[in-house]
Amino acid sequence: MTKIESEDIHIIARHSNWPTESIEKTLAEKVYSNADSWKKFLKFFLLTLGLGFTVAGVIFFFAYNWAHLNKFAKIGIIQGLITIATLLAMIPKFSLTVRNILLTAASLLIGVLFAVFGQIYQTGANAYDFFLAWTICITIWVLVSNFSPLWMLYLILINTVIYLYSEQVASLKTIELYTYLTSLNALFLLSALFVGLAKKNIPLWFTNTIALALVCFATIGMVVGIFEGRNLYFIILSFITAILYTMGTIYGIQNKRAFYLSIIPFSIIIIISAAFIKIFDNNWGFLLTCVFIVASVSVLITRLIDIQKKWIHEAGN
Amino acid sequence: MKQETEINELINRVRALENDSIEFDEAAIHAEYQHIAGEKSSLAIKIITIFGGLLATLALLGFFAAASLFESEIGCMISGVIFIAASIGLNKIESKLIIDTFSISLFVSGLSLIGIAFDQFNANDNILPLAFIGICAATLMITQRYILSFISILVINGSILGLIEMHREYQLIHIYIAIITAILVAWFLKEAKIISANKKLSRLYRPFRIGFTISYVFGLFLAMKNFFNQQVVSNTWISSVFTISASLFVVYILCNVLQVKQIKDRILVYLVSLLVLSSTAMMPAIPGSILIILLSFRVNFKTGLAIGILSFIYFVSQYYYDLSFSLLTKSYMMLGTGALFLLIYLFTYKKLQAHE
Repeated sequence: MTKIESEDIHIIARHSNWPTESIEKTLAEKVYSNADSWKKFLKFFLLTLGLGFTVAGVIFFFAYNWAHLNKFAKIGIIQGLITIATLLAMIPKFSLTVRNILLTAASLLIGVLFAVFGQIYQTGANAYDFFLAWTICITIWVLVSNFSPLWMLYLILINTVIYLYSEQVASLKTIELYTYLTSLNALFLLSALFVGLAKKNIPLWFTNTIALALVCFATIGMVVGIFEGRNLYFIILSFITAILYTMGTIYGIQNKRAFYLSIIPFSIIIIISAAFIKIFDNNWGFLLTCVFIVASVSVLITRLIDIQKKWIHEAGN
Repeated sequence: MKQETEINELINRVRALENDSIEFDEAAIHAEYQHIAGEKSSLAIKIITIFGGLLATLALLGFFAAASLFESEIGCMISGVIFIAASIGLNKIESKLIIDTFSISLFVSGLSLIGIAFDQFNANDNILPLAFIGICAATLMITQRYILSFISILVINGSILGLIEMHREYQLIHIYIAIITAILVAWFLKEAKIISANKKLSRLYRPFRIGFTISYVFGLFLAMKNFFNQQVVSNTWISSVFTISASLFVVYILCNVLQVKQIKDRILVYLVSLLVLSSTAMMPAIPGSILIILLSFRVNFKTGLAIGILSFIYFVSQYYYDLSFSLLTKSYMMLGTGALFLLIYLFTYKKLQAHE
C-alpha cells in the first residue's frame, strides 16, 4: 500500500472539499510525530542537554583553574584522558561503534595535548609542525579502527598540513598548492572508491565529501590559473582536472551517482565563466557570462532531471 | 514518482475515510502529480538552481558596473522594475524548474538595481525597505512558486528588521517577536485549516513555513540582550513573555499527545517547564529556539528541526558568553543545569518508555 505523505495530503486537499477536521486527523495519524516518537525525542533531548551542560561545566571548571595548574597537572590531565579513552576502547564488551568513537575522541585529545604542550614550552614551531605531529601520532589508530569519521579527521589534517606547509615554509604559488591538493584528494577518492568496490563498507557521505573537496580545489586552482596566466602548473592542473572530471562523469553515469553529475558540470560552468570574463575583459564579457550561466545551468538541470527520471524508470522495471 | 494506479488508490483511501461524502477534482489531482513528477528534484538540483541564479546575478550586475549603467538612477530603476516584472511573468507563464534559475537571478538583480537607484536618488531611507515589502507582497499574491515565495518572505522580514535597525527603535523588536511567534505557532499547528482554506494559501504553505522559521531566528538574534556587545535592546523580558508562553502552549499540546491525564502530573509538567524556560528570561532567543524545535518535531519538519537545534546551540553559547560572571560561577551554573536535566531524565525515564 502506498504511504500517504504530507505532500499527498496537500495536493488532495487543494483539489477537493475534504473537511478540515478530517485533514487534521489524517495529518496527525500519518505525518505528525506520535506519542512514541515524542517519548524517544524527549529522552534524547533531556539526556543530551544533561550530559552536554555537565561536560561543558567540567570543561569550564578546568578552564577557570587552568592558569593556576602547574605543567605536570596540565599535561597529566590530558594524557590521563587519552589513556582512559584508549583503554576503554580496548574493552571488547562495548559495541564496535562505541569503541571507535572513543578512539576518535582520543585522537582529538592528541591535538589538544600538542596545543597545550606548545603553549607551555613555547616551542615556537610553525603551526604546520603541530598538525604534522598530530597527524603522525594518530596514524595507527586510524588504520586500526578503520572508522569513517576518524578517517575524515585524518584526511582533513593531512590537507591542513599541506596548506600550512605551503603558507609558512615552502611559499608555493597558489596554483601550485591547489595542484597538489587536487592530486592528493584525487588519490584519496580513488583509493576510497577502490576499497569500496571490494568491500562496500565505505559510506556515501565519506566519498562524497572527498569528491566535493576535490572539485572545490580543482575549481579554485583552475580559476586562479586562468587569471594568473600561463604557467607549467596550470597546464598540469588542467590536464589532471580534465582526466578526473571525465572519470568522475563516467563513474557517475555507471553507478547512478547524481552527486558527481551535479558538481562536475557546475564546476566546469564556473571555470568557463571565469575564462569568458578573462578573455573578453569588458562589459560585454559579463553579459555573455550571464547568458552562458543561465543557459548552461538550465541545460544541466534539464539533463539531470531526465537522467533521474530514467534511473527511477529503470529501477521500477 | 507516483504511478496512475497509486494516485487512484490514494484518492480511494481518502474517499473511504470520508464515507463517500467527498468530491474530488480528479483531473486536477492527476495533473498536479504529473507536474511535480517533472520536477521532483534532489537537493543537489535545488542548490545548483540557487547558486546558478546567484552567479548569473553577479555576472549581470558586473555587466551593469562595467558598462557604467549604475550611474543613471532612472536607468537602474527602469531596468529593476522590468527585471522583476519579467521574473514574475516567466514564473506565471511557465512554472517549470528550469525557469527558476532565470527567474531568481532576474528577481534578485531587479531588487538590487532598485536599491541602487534609491540610493542615488538620495531618497528618504524608509522608502527602500517599504518598496521592497510592497514588491515582495505583490509577488506573493501573483505567483506562489516555492523559491520565489521563499525569497520574498525573507526580503519582507529582512526589510522590517532593517527598518528597526535603521531607526534604532529596538523596543519595536518585541512587537515583531510577538507577531512572528503568533504567526509561527498558528502556521505550524493550523496546517489543515490553512491548506484547505484556498489554493494560493495552500501553495504558499511550505515556503512560508521555512521562510518564517528563518526570519524568526533573525528576529531572535536581534532581540538578544547584548547585540554586538551593545546593550541596545532593553526590557528583553517582554519578548520572553511571548516566546515562553508559546513554548508552554506547545507543552500543553504535547501533554495531550502523550496523554498526561492526571491534573497533578500536568501541573508538575507545566511548573518544571516554566521553571526551566523562565531561567532564560533574559535571553528570549533561547525559549524561541526551543519553540522552533518543539513545533518542527511536532509536525515532522526536518529542516526546521535542524535550524532550531543549531540556533539553540548558538543562543545558549552566546548566553553563557555574555553573562558577566567568572568562569567558575559559569561552570557551577552549567553543572547545575546539567544535573537538573539529568534528574528530569531519571524521573521521567520510566514514563517515557515507548510502548513498542
